[in-house]
Amino acid sequence: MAGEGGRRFLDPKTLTKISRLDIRARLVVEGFVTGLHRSPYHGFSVEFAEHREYVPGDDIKHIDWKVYARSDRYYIKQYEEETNLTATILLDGSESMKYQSDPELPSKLEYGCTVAASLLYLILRQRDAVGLVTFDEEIRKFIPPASSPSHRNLMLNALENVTPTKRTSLGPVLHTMADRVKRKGLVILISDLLDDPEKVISGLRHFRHRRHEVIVFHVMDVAERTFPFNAMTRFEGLEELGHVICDPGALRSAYLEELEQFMGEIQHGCRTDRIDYVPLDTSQPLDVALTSYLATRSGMKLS
Amino acid sequence: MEFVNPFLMLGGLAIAAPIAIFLLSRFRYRTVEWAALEFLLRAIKRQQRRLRLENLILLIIRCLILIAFAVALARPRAVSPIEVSPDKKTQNVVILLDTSYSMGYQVGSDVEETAHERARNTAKEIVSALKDGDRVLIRSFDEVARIEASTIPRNANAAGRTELLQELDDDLFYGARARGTSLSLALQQLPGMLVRFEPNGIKPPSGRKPLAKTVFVLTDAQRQGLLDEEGKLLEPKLSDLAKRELEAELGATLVLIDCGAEQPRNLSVTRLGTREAVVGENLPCHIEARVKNYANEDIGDLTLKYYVDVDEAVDLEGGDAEPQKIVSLTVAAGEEVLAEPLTYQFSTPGLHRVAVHLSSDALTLDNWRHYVVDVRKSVRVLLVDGEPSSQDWEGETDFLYEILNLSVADDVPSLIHTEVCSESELPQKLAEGQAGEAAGDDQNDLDIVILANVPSLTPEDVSQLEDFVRLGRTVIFTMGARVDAKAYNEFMFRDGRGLLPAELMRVVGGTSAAASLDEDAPAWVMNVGDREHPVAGLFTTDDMVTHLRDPSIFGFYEVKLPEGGASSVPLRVNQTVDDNVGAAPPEEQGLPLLVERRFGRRGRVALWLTTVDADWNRIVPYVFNFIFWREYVLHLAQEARPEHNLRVGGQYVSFLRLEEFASKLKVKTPLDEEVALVPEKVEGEEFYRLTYPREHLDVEGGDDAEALNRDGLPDPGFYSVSSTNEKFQTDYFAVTLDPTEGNLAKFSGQELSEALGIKVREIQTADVVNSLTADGGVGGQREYWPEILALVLALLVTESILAAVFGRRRR
Repeated sequence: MAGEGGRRFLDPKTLTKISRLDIRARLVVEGFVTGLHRSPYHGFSVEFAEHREYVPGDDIKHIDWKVYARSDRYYIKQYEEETNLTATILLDGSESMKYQSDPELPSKLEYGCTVAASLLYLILRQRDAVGLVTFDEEIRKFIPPASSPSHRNLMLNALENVTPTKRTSLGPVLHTMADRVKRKGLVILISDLLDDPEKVISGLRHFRHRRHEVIVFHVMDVAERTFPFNAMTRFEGLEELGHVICDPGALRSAYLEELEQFMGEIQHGCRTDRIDYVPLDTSQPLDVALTSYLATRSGMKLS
Repeated sequence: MEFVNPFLMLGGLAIAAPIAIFLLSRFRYRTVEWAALEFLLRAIKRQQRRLRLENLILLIIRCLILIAFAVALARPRAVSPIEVSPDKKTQNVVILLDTSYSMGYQVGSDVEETAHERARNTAKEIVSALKDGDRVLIRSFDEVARIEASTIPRNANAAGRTELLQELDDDLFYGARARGTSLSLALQQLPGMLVRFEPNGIKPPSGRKPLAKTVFVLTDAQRQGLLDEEGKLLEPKLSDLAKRELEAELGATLVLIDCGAEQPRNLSVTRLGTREAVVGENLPCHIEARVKNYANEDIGDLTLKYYVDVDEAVDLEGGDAEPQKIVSLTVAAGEEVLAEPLTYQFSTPGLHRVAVHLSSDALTLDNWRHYVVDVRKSVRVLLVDGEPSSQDWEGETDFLYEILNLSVADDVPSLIHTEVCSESELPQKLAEGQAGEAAGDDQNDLDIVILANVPSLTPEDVSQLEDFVRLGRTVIFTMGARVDAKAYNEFMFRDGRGLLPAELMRVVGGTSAAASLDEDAPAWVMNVGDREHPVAGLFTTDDMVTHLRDPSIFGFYEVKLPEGGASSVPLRVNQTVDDNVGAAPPEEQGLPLLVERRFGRRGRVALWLTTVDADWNRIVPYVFNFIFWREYVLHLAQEARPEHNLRVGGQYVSFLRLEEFASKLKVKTPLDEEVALVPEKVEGEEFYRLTYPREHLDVEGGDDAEALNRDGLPDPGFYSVSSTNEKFQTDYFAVTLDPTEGNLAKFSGQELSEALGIKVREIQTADVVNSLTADGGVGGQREYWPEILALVLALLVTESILAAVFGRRRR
């Protein structure tokens, strides 16, 4: 598969046209992998990976003496260490996630599902264990981590059946999950985070307290990031927040300031607790999410 | 400020639009579901006050844009002097051009640059700026309204303008005159001009709006003759006329354009004459000149030059003539001074020309004054004594004879020659006198006949006497016990048609000679009845009034004055004696003592209602008698002489005897022009009449240029009338200016406006030109819509910028 052909599927506009989530996820992952220079799978194998020339400072125990005997040169024998990664994907399925400003673009939920599916596809391909939690004001579905391919279908199915009707209550959900996910691993939160930032940070900090690595994919609609409205508009609040009629043009800057402040608080909280915070909007290609994941994964390996 | 399309101001109601849009927008919106509502709510809460303020600012600016746009469409314009009728594009303009002699004031550095030239040029500027379809009437005015070049409003198309401009150069219509100003008269005659602009030349019926008309008054805004010191109109009716006719009925707007100097400084020679009523041959006389300073500052180093008998007027103007005397003087602000007189002795009888010249100022015309002195060999008086007596002082006329025959000095003969006769000798004396006059013999020519206590005259005598007076002589009747009042009334009063100036009624007080000696008899005293009378008026000063009050009168005739006011009463008698002799009783009080009236051509009759001896009064021994009778006789003698000193605008009239006739005589004017005169035979009389100018009409001019000839004597200076007939002696006359015209004190447009009670705009000449140019002519009034449109644009830009800044602009 050519590089460009693969990346094509990373564009949300293209992906929305593909109805099946599994195909979508596969296309994302395959396209993403095709575009990489190095296979991401290396790092997850205990098998011999490759030789490379010794450079001073390398541990001499990794020198392949057989090669030295044959070629009279020092080569380091690199092994890819396998870790038993357990990833848990937490997907926000609250009502606010169904917001979609542009029919050509996915809703936040669709985008989040695609990100979740792509990630679990990727993780499972690496034969790591991955679990899925969908929630709104409470946990709706909890599929514990497992690495079997059949497990994937279960999770994809769960993702496709998320119905966004309820309010978000992110803080309690995170605390609950932090208590339930016992095994140290990777926690991936996909949400619009529309809740009290303090509560959100508090929940995430709970995971960190349990020594989990945490990635927060903050999914927002592109309209929520830019507030492109001009004419007099009645804004019907999702999650039972009532409504407001206003001239959005006059409020744009104030709104964006509020948003910046909110995101700033979240970002600051994440940085403090060494949580990876990845803001996404529904128009962004999905490789951003995957790259962030891999970076974090790589960091876990190094740590 | 007014609007060309005022109804378009209704467009200003469009300001309701943004308000309505704003309100409607509250109900017209699209609905979106929104997840991040909390941020929005917080933003709204935080921005609420600012949003309201921004909304208000934008709303105000948008409303202003609409209002300004509506105002621009309505085309506001300054109410400039250049009026455009609101209902029509064309306009009606009247230009009143002041041509009085004060307009000859030099306003610029050049001698030619006078107020009049400035006014004429301004009139040309106005005419040049008129447009096709505009109509205009131009009229010059001074103390008489001038005729117009055209009485029908002229169309100011290109050809019309050219014609008007040429006419404005024509001195016949618009040249400067030597007349005084009467803006009052010009305004009174204005409705007659304005009505010609209306359809059919009639006033619009009530309810119909008259056509708007602009009246430009180009003048030096002289106050005198129009406003008093308090700014009230001297002619109060003018205010009613202005408000009712000019403004309401004829839609006129007055625009005053002061073409005169800002602070004029002028001196005038206001009077030139002789102190003596009659100047006698080889008798010293005093030639007196008065100089008035009309400026607000004292002016010194002035020289006044007296000229006597200079042959040609041009010599005076050219300055070649040798002055007889040069006097230097200083005149305080607003004062009039009597310059040191020239004492002169004329060695020949006849007409002599005297002129004075005051060192020049910016208005030169009134620095000259001219006077013709009629030098007499003698004044001849015939006393007809009705009660003669051979004893000294017993005759009726003895006192009078002595008084009149007095000489001023032993070696100087008396100017008055008096002769006494009885009533029976009267016809013969009259016949001799007439013969003397016919021969031009001053010595035998009788001037005055005094009938003293004459019982009566025959109808023939009366007729002869009437002829004598009619030709320009004087008769004085004095009363006494012998007078037959009935016969006097019947033959000489003749119901006001006869010689007697009043009807004799009855004798008041004692009539016997003893009465005057009776200490207890009721006494009457004299007082002045006419302060303006040249002789009675002498007795108004404090020292002179004493002389008037000293004598007592015990008897006099009460008279009934004829109706119509033809008779005047220079002296009256009062019964009550005022202790304070200085305080003259009111002139209207008291009974007549002296009654005067004109009779015939230049003749006069006087009626002295008491005796001229001491029968009915105690006058004779008093100083009064000496002063009064000499002065009165001289005054009457002079009054009866042909007038040789005339006013500008007046008319020269003289009579030729048959033997003096010539088919053509000529007048030489001060401008050295010669004009032919044709004598006219007076019907039924033995003489010819000579007039110059021939037609004289001192009222509004007629419809053609001929009427200009009715304008009277046009220029000040000496005129001479000569004939080819040797028997005709060259006649001279002097023409003088109205000296009050030299008073250049001004009124302002505001004062005029307040006095007239209508709006009067005042602009300067320079502003006329500027405003005409700026407005693109009279037709294009200064309009402000371009500026307002620019304001609209500026507001639009501001609105756009603010809307963008406030986030209201749609992308």
